[in-house]
Amino acid sequence: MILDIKNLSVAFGRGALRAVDSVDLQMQGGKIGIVGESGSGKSTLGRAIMRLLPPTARVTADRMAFEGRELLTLPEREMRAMRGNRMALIMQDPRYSLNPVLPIGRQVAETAILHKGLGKAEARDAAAAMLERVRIRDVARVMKAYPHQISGGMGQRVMIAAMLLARPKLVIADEPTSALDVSVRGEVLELLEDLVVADGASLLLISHDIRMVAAFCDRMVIMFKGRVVETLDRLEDAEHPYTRALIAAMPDARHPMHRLRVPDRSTFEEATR
Amino acid sequence: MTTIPMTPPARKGAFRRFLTDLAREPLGLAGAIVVAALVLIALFAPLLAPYPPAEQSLTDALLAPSAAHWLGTDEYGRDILSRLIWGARVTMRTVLSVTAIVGPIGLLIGVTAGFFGGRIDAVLMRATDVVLSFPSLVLALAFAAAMGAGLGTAIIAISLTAWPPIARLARAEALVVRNADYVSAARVYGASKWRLLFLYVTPMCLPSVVVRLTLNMAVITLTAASLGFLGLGAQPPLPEWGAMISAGRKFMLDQWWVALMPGVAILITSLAFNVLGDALRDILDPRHTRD
Amino acid sequence: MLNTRLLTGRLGQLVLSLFVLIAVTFVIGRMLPTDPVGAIVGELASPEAYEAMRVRMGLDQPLIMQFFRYVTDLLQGDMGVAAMTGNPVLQDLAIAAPATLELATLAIIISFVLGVPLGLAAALRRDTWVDQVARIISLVGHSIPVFWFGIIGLIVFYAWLGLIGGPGRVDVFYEGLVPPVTGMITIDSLIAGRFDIFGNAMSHIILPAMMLAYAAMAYITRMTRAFTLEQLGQDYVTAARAKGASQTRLLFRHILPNIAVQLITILAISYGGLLEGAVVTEIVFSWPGLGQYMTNALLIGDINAVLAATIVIGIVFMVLNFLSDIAYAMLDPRTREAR
Repeated sequence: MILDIKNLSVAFGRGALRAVDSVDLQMQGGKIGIVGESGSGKSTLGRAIMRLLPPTARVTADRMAFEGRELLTLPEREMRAMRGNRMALIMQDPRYSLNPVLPIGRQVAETAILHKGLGKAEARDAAAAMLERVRIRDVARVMKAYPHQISGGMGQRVMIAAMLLARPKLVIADEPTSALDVSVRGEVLELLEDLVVADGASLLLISHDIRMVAAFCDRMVIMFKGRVVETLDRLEDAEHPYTRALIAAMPDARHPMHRLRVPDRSTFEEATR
Repeated sequence: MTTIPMTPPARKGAFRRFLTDLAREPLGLAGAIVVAALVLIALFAPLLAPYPPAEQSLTDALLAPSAAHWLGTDEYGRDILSRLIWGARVTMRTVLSVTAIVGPIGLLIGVTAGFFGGRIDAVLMRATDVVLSFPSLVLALAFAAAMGAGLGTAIIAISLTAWPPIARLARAEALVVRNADYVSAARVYGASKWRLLFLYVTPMCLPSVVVRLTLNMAVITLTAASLGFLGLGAQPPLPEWGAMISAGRKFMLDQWWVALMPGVAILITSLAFNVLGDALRDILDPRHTRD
Repeated sequence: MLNTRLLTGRLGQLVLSLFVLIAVTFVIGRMLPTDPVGAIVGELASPEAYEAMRVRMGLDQPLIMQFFRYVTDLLQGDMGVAAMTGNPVLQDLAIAAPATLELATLAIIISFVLGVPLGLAAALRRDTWVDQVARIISLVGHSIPVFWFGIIGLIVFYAWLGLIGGPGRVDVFYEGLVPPVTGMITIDSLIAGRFDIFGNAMSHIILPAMMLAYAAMAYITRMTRAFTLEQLGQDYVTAARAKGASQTRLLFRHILPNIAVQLITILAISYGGLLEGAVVTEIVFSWPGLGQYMTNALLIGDINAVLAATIVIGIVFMVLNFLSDIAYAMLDPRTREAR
């Protein structure tokens, strides 16, 4: 089992409110999507798995195992050996997730230096090869360019290149297409599919777009206020009122209506208890 | 991102909330207490000082701290504690005078520039930037030297270069506020520009200006002390802390307390203003990330 | 590729500020309650001699002409004659300047070497004791009168402990022994190979430099901490962590390059502040630099020398600010191209 999580909770600071509340998640492989609105805890969940939360976060779980190894008690040095190597995080907006003052080549090569033990020159070559893999056309120019000199779509590919260079077994993608133009979203998803599936890795896709997740992933986990509300394979199987309201609230060109049905939150509080 | 409220903030109960907020910051509270104590000391100096500050007694010159003279005596036999207490009056006068000059002027310039924009803004900010780039202490020294030493000239000298940061700050605030909904609403109701400026925009700029002025008071204390140290501030027999340090320098090897004590007073005063200003910033400016 | 529009704009601002500064010193000079003519010819001079001197000093001309003459004199380096030394003021300043530069430069080096790591550590170990210590150091540094701090330092380290040299740049018997190359005794003694003089000079400069450095450190530590905290909250830091970067790597390869330009700006501003601090502190240490020159001139009322020193310090101050302004434009890859 790639990921075995039982009763994971995350709280910040001295507050009692949990960003992630008693979440169970088991992953054998393939692509799983985590769907929720802002504040549902889905991003926090992703980062908790990688232990990338700030020190004010209190993470507790009965079990949080990756490839059979318990992550919560792992020493930081070993955790660092895992990050970017066996598990990776792709972040939302390349305008912010790329270091603005370093050339792109260096940022992609960094993974090779950290986990493949390559020297500077070889790491650069590895980075160039990876950039080709993510279908960037003018590799030489992009290697020397700075993040503000490339487009959003290219930036996300660069991010993917840097994170997937070491061929991780688990890829957590946190809203990978939300900051992109609609026209390039499909390409990035396709890229993720090819690279992840080709390496036999698993993908945990975090998004607010339930339809995209339904089309792309094998299984969906719906989150609301830190809790897992429902797990389903197909949209039609939705039973929970929240999931149903989410689906119903999305405009569908095949079923035009005068007024979108806005979810009534008061009904969910009860149902998620 | 700042959120501009739809309505101007409620004033009732705000002061009480402020006091409770201040009480929750132990350091800031300490600063407030010290500042209040300094003001009281300055006001009631005649009652608090054990000796008259100018009373000389050459037989008692340069005595070490003792029960009779808690902080010792200077080269003329004057009680140092009493002189420090009276010196608080001079310091407070300087600090409050400069603030009373610099605050309104800086506020006016900044708010006018930010609110009206365009050419007025460009001209005012150009002037502000020019004065901002001057070395303020050095210029204050030159000015005080030319005008003749004295408390009044020191106050003016310091004020001349202390207003630009306030103007910049007020302008930045005004730029944000002038687009607020309630300002636009008032404009629709026919409020004149001046009314908008003074009743709507300026009050919103006050909190951060107050914070800045408080922090400035620490700097003013130090600058005034520097001027006094060089003999350019309040003239003898008025006891000025900086001047007392200068006088004590001659005896610093053997009678070190003469030079030490006034400096401690300056340090405590400046610290109090800094600490109070920091606490005020945490309370009044919600955008400022708390440490 | 330099953003030339930004450069010319800033340069224009600099020229304007310099011009206003000169005008301000001119006005200050004219505000003297004393009579400049009488000061030279004396009280018993005849009306003709008085008038002759008045014409010679150009005081019969309209104010604008006087200002014009003032500016042209300045541009030629004529700042008048110092009453203290009888020398042209510019000459005096040229002799005094290296001493101040030596002091300020050593102070800025110390303050950076100590202040930046402290600020970094405070940000990385936020809210721990390291952070609190840094906060206290900063707070006290902002509140302390530097000249008094210098006096205390002299009392403790010179009078009581005898650890360092006293007032002046070197002990009396070492004076004038080193051929002046840069005017900075520490460097010149190294060049001359006189390590004994070097040691002595260091023992004299270390205390004033450390006192000044402490005052500058307050600002540097606080700003470094703020810059670092700002970067730590950025996504690229999380991304680098997600790649498995260690704390050290994060610091040196990611965060520092991002705050480097801001640190340079801080350096320039601090240097200007150190110059002002030196003005008041040099007299405490009998340090023969610009500061002592100016304060001595103040004490005897030599307004010529005071204003000249003001202009020189003002120029250095403004040029430093100007350089730090354009450093941003030049060094930050995001702003390097003109937009």
